[in-house]
Amino acid sequence: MNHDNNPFSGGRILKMLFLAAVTVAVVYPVLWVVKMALTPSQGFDASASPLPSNPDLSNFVYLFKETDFLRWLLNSSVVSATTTLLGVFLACTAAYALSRFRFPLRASAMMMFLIQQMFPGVLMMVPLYIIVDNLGLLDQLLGLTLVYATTAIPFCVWMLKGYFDTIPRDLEEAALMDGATPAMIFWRIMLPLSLPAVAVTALFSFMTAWNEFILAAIFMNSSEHYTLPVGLKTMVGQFSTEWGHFAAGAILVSIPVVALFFALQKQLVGGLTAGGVKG
Amino acid sequence: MASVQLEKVFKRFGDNAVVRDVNLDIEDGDFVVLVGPSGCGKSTTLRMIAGLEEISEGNLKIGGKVVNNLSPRDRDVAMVFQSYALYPHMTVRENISFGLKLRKMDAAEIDARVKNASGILGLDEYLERKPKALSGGQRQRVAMGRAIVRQPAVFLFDEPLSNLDAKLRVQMRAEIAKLHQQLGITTIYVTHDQVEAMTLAKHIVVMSMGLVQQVGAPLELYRRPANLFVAGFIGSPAMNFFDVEVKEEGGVPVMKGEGVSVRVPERFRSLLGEKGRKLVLGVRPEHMHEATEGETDVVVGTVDVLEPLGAEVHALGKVAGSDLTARLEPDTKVQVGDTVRIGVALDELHIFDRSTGRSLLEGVS
Repeated sequence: MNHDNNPFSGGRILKMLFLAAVTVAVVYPVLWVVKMALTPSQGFDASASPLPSNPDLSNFVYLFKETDFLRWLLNSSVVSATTTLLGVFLACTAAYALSRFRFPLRASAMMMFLIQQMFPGVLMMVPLYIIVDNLGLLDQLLGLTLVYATTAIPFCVWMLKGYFDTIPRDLEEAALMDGATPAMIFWRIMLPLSLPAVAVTALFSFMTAWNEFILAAIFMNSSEHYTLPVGLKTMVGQFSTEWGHFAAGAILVSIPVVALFFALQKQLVGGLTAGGVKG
Repeated sequence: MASVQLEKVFKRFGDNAVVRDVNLDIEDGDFVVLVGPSGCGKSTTLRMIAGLEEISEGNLKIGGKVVNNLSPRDRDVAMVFQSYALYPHMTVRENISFGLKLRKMDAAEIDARVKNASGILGLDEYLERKPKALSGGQRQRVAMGRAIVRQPAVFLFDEPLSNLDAKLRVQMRAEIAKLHQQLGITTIYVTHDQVEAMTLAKHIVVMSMGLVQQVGAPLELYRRPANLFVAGFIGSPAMNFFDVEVKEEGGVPVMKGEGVSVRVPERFRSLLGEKGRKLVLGVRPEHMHEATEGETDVVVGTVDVLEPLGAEVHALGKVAGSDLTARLEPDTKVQVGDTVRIGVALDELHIFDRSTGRSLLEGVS
C-alpha cells in the first residue's frame, strides 16, 4: 500500500491545493464574463466578486431586439458549417492520397502545407484581399468561406494523414480482395475508422471559421454580412464599450462551440481501430 | 475451383529481383504450401497471385486464363492475412458478408452463406460481436469465414497461424486441413514453419532467395531433398552435414572426413563420380543410433547437451567442426562430455556435391 491511499497525506493535500488554484484561475474569468452579461449596466464593474448583484437578462434581450445579432448568427453558422464541410471533405481526400499513393512531388506537397502554416495569417491578408476582390467575392459569405477553408485545410491534411498512416494497410488489401474499389475502400473502411481524427479536424475547421475576426472584419463591409465576432466588435466603440452587451454576445457565441465539443466528445476519444488486426 | 500456373514469374523492386523465374503448376483442388525462411519471396509470390503486387515478368494463369492485369476482385481469389485484417468497425456478420454485399448479392443468399460459413467455423454465437471482443483463434476463424463465403476459385493463406499460441496453432491447422477436405478448393498457403508445411500440404514448394528450390510431396522432400538447402530446411531436428571425400579402403569406397567414416552403399557407388570428389554427407538425427562394438559406419563426436524428450533423447554436440544432433534411445547411458561413436543407417544417407550443393541421389528411389 502506498502513502497516497491516505486522503490527508501531505503530498495529496498539496496536489489538491494546486489543482484547486488552477481551477479557480481557469474558471474565474469565465464567471466574470457571465457576471457582466447578467448585469444591466454597461459599465465595467471592477469589484472582485464573480457574482452579479442584480442579475437580469436585459443584455440578451437587447442583443436580439435592437441589433442584427440573429443575422450575424445565421451568417456565422452558414460560413462555419460550409467551411467545415468543404475543409473536411477536401482534407480527407487529399490526406488519403498523400498517405496511400506514391506520386511525384508528394513530399514537397506535404512540406508546402507545413511551411504555409509557419507564417502568421495576417501576412496573407493583402494577397487574400486582392484575390477575393478579383473574384468579385468581397463582402460575400462565399468569399469568406473559401478563405477559411483554404487556411484550415493544411492543418487538417497533416492531422488526417498522420491518422491514416496508422491504419494498417492489411485492412485495405483485405477490402481489395473482398472486391472493393479504391473509392469504396475510402468511404466504407478508411473514413469510418478515422472518425476520431475527422471529428478533431471538423472541430478545428469549425472553430477557425467561427472565431475568426480579422479577415472577416476586412472582407465584410455591410452589417448584414457580418459574422458574430465582427458584429460584437461594433459594441466596442472608440469612446465607450457596451460591456454588458458584449459579454452577453460572447456567451452566446461560445455556446455552439461548447455544444459541438460535447457532441463530438465520444469520437474525440480514439481507439476505434482496436481489435482489427492482431493484438 | 481452378488450377493456377506461374510461368517464368519474376518480381523486381528496382534492380533487386526478390522472386526469380518461378514456375509452378498447381492443379485444381491441390493444397500447395510455399515454405522458406523470411525474405525468400514466398509472401511476394502469394501477393502476386492475389493481385496485390504487380508481376514484373512472366505469366500468371488462374483457371487457364492469364490474369496478370486483372485487379484482385476480378481474379476470384480470397485471401486470409497473417494479421487477420478484420474490419474493426464491423460486426463479425458484417465482416463476413462485406465481400458479398459489394458484389450486390441477394440478401437471402448472403444470409444463407454467412450461416453456412459460421456453422462450419463455429462462429454462430459471435456473429453480432465486433472483432475486438474476440480471441485470436476466433478472429482467425472470422478471417477464414470471410474467405469461405465468397466460394472463390482459389484460397490464399499468408502465414495465417503465426499469431496464435502453440496449442491453438495445432488446432487451427487441423481445421484448415478439414476445411480443405470439405470444400476441395485449390489452396495456396504460405508459411515459414516446415511442420505446418509437412502436415498440411499435398505439395510443398521450398523457396530460398527468390528461387524455387524444390517442389514435391512432403515425403518426397523428406526422403530425397534436391539440395543442401531443402535437406536442412525440411525435417526437425535438422539434418546433420559432414564434409567428406571418397577414399578407397580395402577395395571399398568409403566417405571419409574428420571423425567420419561411412562406406558408400553399393547402389550409390556409380553416382559419386571420381575419387577425391568433395562431398557433403547428410544424415538425419532420426537415422542415427549409438554404435555397437563392431560397427564401422560411424561418426565420432562429443556430446555437449542432452535433451530428454521422454520418448527419445536428442544429443547435441560436435563432430570435428560440424554440428551433431543425434536421436538416441530414451534409456541411453551417454553423458554430457562423452565422446560417442554414432552409427548411421546406410539406407537413409544423403550425399551432396560440396561445390553445387546439389544432391547426387536425385531420382534414386
